[in-house]
Amino acid sequence: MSNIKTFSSCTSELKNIREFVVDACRDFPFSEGKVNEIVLAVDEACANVIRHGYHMSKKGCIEIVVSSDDEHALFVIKDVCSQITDKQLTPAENNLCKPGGLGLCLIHYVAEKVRLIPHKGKGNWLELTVKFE
Amino acid sequence: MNIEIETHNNYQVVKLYGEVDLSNSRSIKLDIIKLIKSKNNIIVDFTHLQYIDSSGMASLVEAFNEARENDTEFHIVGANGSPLQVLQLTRLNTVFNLADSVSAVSNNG
Repeated sequence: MSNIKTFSSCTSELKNIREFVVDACRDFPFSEGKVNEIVLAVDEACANVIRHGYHMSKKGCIEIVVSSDDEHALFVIKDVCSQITDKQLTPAENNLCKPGGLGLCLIHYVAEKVRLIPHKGKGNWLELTVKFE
Repeated sequence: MNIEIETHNNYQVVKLYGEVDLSNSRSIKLDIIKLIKSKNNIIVDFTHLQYIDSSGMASLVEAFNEARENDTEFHIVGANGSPLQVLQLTRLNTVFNLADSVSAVSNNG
């Protein structure tokens, strides 16, 4: 069973996205600390879509699909931006005193697997796989 | 998100309330950097902060670097819950000067 919700690409929607992820995580065996991490990772992914995909335009949309298999929770963030490549998902070396790049590092730290799902049509489907504790 | 600024001894205390994310991190950065450019020592109080993302942390890193360039102090106090986790995940807890409370910094400064 999937939990699906669509949000606008307005930065003020990030708060609603975080609340949606918290609610979705109630169905899974995660500690409060792990839920905080997952919320952060999904928030970072959506913020990247708003910032770099939609270039801060409020007219875009972001769909979030939350599902699971026996061992993992799966979070898919769908947009209709220009398509990105796997290379763009690789975090640069984390120089802590330079702004930028922290978000991707956080996503990769929290999620066991981060991948682009191949699909027909426009945009990107980014999947974060998080193993149950 | 609310921000309050108070004076404690030789410090300007920037109290953050609520959630810091892409929607407000830039304005917070500008507020803090304005204080730093006026040669104020800064304490950013996380006690009532519920959430901060990487854009918020990046803003604080920029403010921290600005403080170093202006030879002023920059401290973060009261980090707990999710914001403390973010500090640890990003390893910025090893970069910033962290303390438990405003008084722990301002009484020693």
